[in-house]
Amino acid sequence: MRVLIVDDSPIALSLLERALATAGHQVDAAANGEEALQWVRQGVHRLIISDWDMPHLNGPALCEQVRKISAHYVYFILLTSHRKSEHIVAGLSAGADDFIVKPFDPQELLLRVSAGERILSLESRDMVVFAMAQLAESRDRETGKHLERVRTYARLLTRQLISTGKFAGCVDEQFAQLIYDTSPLHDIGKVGIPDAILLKPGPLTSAEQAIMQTHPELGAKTLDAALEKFPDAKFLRFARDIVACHHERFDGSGYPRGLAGEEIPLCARITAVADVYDACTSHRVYRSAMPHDEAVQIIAQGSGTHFDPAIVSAFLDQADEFARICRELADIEEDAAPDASNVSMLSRAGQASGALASLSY
Amino acid sequence: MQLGQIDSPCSDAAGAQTPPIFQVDELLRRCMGDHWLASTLIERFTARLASTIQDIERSLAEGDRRPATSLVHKLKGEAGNLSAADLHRCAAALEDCLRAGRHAETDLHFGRLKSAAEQCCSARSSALKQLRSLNSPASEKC
Repeated sequence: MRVLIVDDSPIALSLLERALATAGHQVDAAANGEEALQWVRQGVHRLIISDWDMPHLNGPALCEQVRKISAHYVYFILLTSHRKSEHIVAGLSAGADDFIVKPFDPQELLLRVSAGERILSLESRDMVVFAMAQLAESRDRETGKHLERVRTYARLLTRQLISTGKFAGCVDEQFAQLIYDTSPLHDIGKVGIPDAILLKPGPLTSAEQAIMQTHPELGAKTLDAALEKFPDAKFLRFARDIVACHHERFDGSGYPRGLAGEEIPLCARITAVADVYDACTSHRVYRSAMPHDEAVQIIAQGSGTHFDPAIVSAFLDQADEFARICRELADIEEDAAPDASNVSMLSRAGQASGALASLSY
Repeated sequence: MQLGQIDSPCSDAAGAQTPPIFQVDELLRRCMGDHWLASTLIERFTARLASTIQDIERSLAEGDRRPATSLVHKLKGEAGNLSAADLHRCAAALEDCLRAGRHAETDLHFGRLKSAAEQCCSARSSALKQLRSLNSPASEKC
């Protein structure tokens, strides 16, 4: 594994490097937090071991930055001589995964790194989840970037909610990571929708519409089966909530259950905004992508009816960032293809005006 | 402060058997048995130890406790990593004193730290010699 070590003491760096290299790890060293962040931006390290006390950017502050900028999960170990519980709490709050007391024992260090490796291997679970979601999406010819955008928007919204203190005690960085990992599954139930309906280029009949609207329950049932086997898998429960409820509306007019307000799980309320923004701003053969400003207007108009007002507020605060992500993760035009659910969702909407009313699939 | 004014080192109990300044076996374990690394680290550490102590002394004299605390903390970490137990203890005691704002004790603890640092510098040759002997073919045969 490629490990980044961060310490302002060359002696500590030498000892860390020697111990890690002995165990076969590839090691890069940074003498301070800023230098470490330059490495982190390259995204090549899965595990970081950092000293706590460093000038300018200390270990916990570095950890917080890593959590913000790193695209994948980085296992973060803090080296510290601080043994008081308030320091442990501060380290954990910053997102650290483990602590090693200084002066460190090399054998203990290697054992803790091994523990980190085991935990990181769970990320392969997330890759499988994403692959499963892409498989489902491939049936209705969406591009993979749709999933990438939705998960990125959902995480952005969550982080905005964290920063505003809204839903304090409910949303935290772990929630942000979970929504990032599981929101790509939101339409997995479409696997169970017949091609004739899913790929129909024109408007759906009311009977077809009813079948299409079963996709949240179909997806939820799939995950329920997995939950029976693994009832403690938090990410499965989280994913199930998103899958089952991302078409519910805040005023109770959504489907499949007509849940309203806080009856709708928060993760599903967040994913709903992310998904609709992406539907609006994505190109389809039957229409051009809606301009960002129009999509923003649609989301804003849906506040309190389609969407949770608190989440719309977070969306509006981060609207510029949504636009940036939309540009950065844009689909290549030829990838876009007909999609019955979105035809019925938007083609009848006559572009922006009244589009919100028809965002029903 | 003169060395003569320092009443005792930071050892746990006066009169107890004096532990080695550098616990070479322990240091070698931290270096994963790499004698060359252990020697290099001792050489580098002791080469700049005097100037580190001067920097701490200057910061304390200027009443600048924050950089002094930072320097002492770093020295404590390095001493611990190099298994220089007494220096580590003295640095820890001075750091605690600085963080707690026990200004009256600062001179006492700094004096002990300075003394322990000087002992480290004096012990450098014997530690390196010990490392060389541990790395010799004869010791491997044993």
